[in-house]
Amino acid sequence: MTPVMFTDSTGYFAVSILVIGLVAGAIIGGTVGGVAAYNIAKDNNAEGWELAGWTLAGVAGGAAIGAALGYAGASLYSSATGIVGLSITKYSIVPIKGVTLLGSYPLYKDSAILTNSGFYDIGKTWNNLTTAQRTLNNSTYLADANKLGSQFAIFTGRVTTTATSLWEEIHYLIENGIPFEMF
Amino acid sequence: MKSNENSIKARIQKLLLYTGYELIHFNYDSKTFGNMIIKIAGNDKIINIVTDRGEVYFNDEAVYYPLISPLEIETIEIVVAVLIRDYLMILQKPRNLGNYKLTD
Repeated sequence: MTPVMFTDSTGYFAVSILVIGLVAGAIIGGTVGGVAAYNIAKDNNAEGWELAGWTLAGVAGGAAIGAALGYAGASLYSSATGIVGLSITKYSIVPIKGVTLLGSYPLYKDSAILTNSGFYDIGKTWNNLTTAQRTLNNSTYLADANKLGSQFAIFTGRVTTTATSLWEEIHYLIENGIPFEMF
Repeated sequence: MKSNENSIKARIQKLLLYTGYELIHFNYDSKTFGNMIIKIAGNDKIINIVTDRGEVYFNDEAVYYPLISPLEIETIEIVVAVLIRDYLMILQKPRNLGNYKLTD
């Protein structure tokens, strides 16, 4: 997955786990590199522009090394956990995995845990949202999972009727041309 | 969170008193939308009640849809208690709660 940050018109966004690793690594590496370079240059009696130059070089070098390490670390983390990114809204941060399971409770949750797949879950925050906020939050998650390359599968053990959250999710996928498999 | 689970369970058990039904399974998933799985048995019947993101299902039939009938104050534990009460004592089929108020 190419490390790209996705934004949408609501201000909510999805971010790849690789981008998080890259940016966090660059910030930490740049800070460490800059401080180390400053101290070494200072010990060697560098002053003025020369000191600033060495410090900046330390920041740049540290950021590059940190970014590479952060990216590699994020890749390992992603491989180990299956998490490819995060769906971030003002109400929730939900991890996105390579496969996203939707369906009727508890079937989809049990299946997701068994297969290390992702599923939509914002805890009891859901109960405090208005109908419009629920719909927006849910569709944002689906959009984010799709942007991050997740594959969708639906596990439902009962007839899915209109005006349910699952019905809305399936309609969102269909209306946006997002492929899914049904079990 | 366990105390919340116990209080919901106690509320349901109290509702079932003198109805001929008993609570045979209760699971409260506080981490996943506060979903509940409830099984009650009586009169040679078992009723499975599942809440799924605020929706309530009796034996896989949807009987409460918050998307089309949000309550004045939506507290799913109260919704479930009212629906069980309706089923067991009044209507034998949960009613539409679209105009339900907590004072009902």
